[in-house]
Amino acid sequence: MEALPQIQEQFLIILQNPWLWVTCLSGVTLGILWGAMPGLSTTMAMTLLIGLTVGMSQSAAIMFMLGVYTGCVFGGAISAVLVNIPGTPDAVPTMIEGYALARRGDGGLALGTAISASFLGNWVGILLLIALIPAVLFLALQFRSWEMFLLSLWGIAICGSMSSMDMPIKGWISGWIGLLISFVGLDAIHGVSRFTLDSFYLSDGIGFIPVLIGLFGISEILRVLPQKSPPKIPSNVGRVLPSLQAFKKYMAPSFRSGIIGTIIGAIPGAGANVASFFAYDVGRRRASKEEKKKWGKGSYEAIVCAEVANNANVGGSMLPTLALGIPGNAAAAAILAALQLKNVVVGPLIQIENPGLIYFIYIGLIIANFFMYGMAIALIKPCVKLFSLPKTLLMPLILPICILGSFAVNLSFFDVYVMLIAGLLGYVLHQLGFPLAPLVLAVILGPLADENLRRALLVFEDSGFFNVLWDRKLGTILLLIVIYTFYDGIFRRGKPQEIIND
Amino acid sequence: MKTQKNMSVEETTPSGSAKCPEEMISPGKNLLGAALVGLLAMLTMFFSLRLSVPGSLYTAPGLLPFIVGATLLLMAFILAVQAIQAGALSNLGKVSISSSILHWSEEAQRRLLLAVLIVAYVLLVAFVNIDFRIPFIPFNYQISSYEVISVIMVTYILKIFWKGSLVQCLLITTVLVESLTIIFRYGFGILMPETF
Repeated sequence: MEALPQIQEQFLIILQNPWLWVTCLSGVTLGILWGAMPGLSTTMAMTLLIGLTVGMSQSAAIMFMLGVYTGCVFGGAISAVLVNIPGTPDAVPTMIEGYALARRGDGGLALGTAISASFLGNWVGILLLIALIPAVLFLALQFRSWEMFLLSLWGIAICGSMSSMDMPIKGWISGWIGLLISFVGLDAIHGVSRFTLDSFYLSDGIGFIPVLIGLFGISEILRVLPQKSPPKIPSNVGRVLPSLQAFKKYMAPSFRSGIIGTIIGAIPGAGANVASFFAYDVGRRRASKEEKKKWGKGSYEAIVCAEVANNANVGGSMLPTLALGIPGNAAAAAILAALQLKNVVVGPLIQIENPGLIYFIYIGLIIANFFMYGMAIALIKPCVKLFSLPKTLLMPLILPICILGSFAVNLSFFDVYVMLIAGLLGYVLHQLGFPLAPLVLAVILGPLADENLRRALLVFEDSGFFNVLWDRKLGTILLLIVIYTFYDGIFRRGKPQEIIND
Repeated sequence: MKTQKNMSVEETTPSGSAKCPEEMISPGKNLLGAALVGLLAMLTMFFSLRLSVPGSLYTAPGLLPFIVGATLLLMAFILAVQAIQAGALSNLGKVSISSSILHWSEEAQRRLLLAVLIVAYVLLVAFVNIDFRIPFIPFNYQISSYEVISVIMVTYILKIFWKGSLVQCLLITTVLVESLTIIFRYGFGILMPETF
C-alpha cells in the first residue's frame, strides 16, 4: 500500500507532460507497425529504435521504449492472422488459429479477439508486476557477487535450453560464443587487454547494440531477401471487435495464461515465444471437449490463451530487468540498454539510486497498454495496405535503419563494422542451426558474470574455493538450479517435439 | 502438410528468437558447426593462457575465458558425437554436392551478391565524403554521403530484388532515406554516420 502515493505522484508527473504521451503513442504506433511486418521481431524493433531515444529526456525515452515494446508484442498478431506469417515468433500459435479463421472470413474478428486478449494480458502482467516486485526486490538485495555470477550463468543457460528445445547444447554453444564476444576489451578488475588484437577500438569492448542490430537485422535481410516466396495478402478483413458476452467466457483461460506469461517472462532468457506456446499448450489440455476439437482449426479461445500470455510476458520480463538488472528476454535487454543510455543503473539498488523510477515504469506500461488498444484498432486497415507490399521491397529499406541505429548510439563508425560482422556471423550461425537469442543475452550478461565471479573468488580467496559453496546458501541453491538446468536440458532432449506432434 | 507449415514458419520468423527446426539442419551441418566451435574454443583457451596474471589465479583476467573455452570445447565434442551418431559422416558428401551446389545455386548466388552489396554500402558510407548545404530559412538543409550513398545503394538493391522500375525504386528510397535523416538529424539532433 505504501507504493500507492508514489504511483499517484508518478502518474501526475506523466499527466502534466503531454510530450511523454506523444512519445509513448509514437512508440506504440511504431511498435505495432514494426511487429506487424513479417519477420521483423520485437527485439529488432527495440534495438533499432533505441537510436531514436538518444536525443530524448530520460522519461521520454522510457515512455517511448515501453510503447514500442507493448505495441510490437501485439503487432506480431496482425500478419499472423492476415498473412499466415507471424510478425514475431510468439505469434505462431495466433497464426495457426487466426489464419484458419481468416480463411473462413472471420479474420477481422480473430484480429479483434487478439487485440482484446493482448489488452487483457498486459493488465495481468502489469498487476502482477506491481504485486510481486517488492518481494523480488527484497530477494534481490540478498544477491552478492557469487549469486550474481550464478544468476547470469543461469540466464544464459536457460535461454539456450528454451530457444533450442530439441538440442539445448546448440543454445548453450550460442550463449558461450556470446560470452566470448563479451570478454573482448579491458578487463574490469586489472585493466588487462583481452582479445583486443592491439586494436584501440576493441579496447573499449564490443557494444551489444550493434551486435543486436547485426544479428537480428542484417542476418535477417541476408536470409529472407534472396528467397522467392513473397507472401499474399487477403483483402477483406471483416468484423473486428468481439462482443463482451463472447469474451466473458474466456476469462478463466485469460487469467491462467496471464499468470503463465508473467512467470515465464520473469525467468531470465525465457521470452514471449516460450510463454505463448506454453499457454497455448496448457490451454488445449484444459479446454472443454467441444473447444478442444476446434483447437488448431480456428479457436478463439486458443488465440486468447496465446495473446494473453505473450503480452503478460511484457510485465513479467520487467521484473528481473528492474529488480536484478538481468533482462527477462532480449527485448527487455533493449529496455535495459535504453535505460543505461540515460545513465539509469537498474538492479537491486534501483529504489535507492532512482527513487520512483519503478512506479514511473508501471504507469508507463499502463498508458502504453491503453494506447496499444486504441492504435491497434485504428491501424488494422493501414496495416492490411502495408502488407500488400512484398518483402523484397520492405527488406532493403531496413538497411539504412540498421546503419543509422548502430552508429547513433556511440557516434562511432566502428560500431557499424561490428554490426556488419555480427550480421554475417548471425547468418552463418542460423544456417548451422544455432539460435541467436542466447548469444545476445550472453553478450549483455558476460561482463556481469566475469566481474562477479572474480570478485567473489577474490573475497573468498583466503577461505578457499569450496568454502564459497558452503558460506553462501542462496548461491548454493542457485548453483543447484544451474546444474539442474543443464541436466534437464540434456535429458529432456526431443520431448518438446513429441508434445507438439501430440 | 504439417512439415510444410513448420517450414514456412521457420522461413519467416526472426532468426534470433525462433528456433531452427532440426529437420532443416542436417547432421553434416551440425558436424561442421561442431568443428568450427571446437576451433574457436581451442583458440580461446590458448589466448586465455597467454594473458598476464597481475594478481592471484582467482582474479586472473583469463580465468573465465579459459573456463568458457574449455566447456565450449566439451560442448563441441558432444555436438560432434551426436552429429556422427545421426549419420553426419555418411551424408556429408551428399549434402555438400547435391544441396549446396545444385539445389541452392540460384538463391546462394543472390545471397552472395546481396552480401557484397551490403559490405560495399557500409564501406562507401565510411570512406566517401559528400557534403552539400542547401540554404533554407532558418537553417541549412544538409545532404551528406549517408543520404547520397544510401539512395544509390538501396535503389540498386531494390532494382535487383524487387524488380520495380528504376524511377519507383529511386522515389521510394529517396523518401525513406530523407525521412529518416530529417527525423534523426533535425528531430533528435543526432549526427549522421558520415560526419566522423
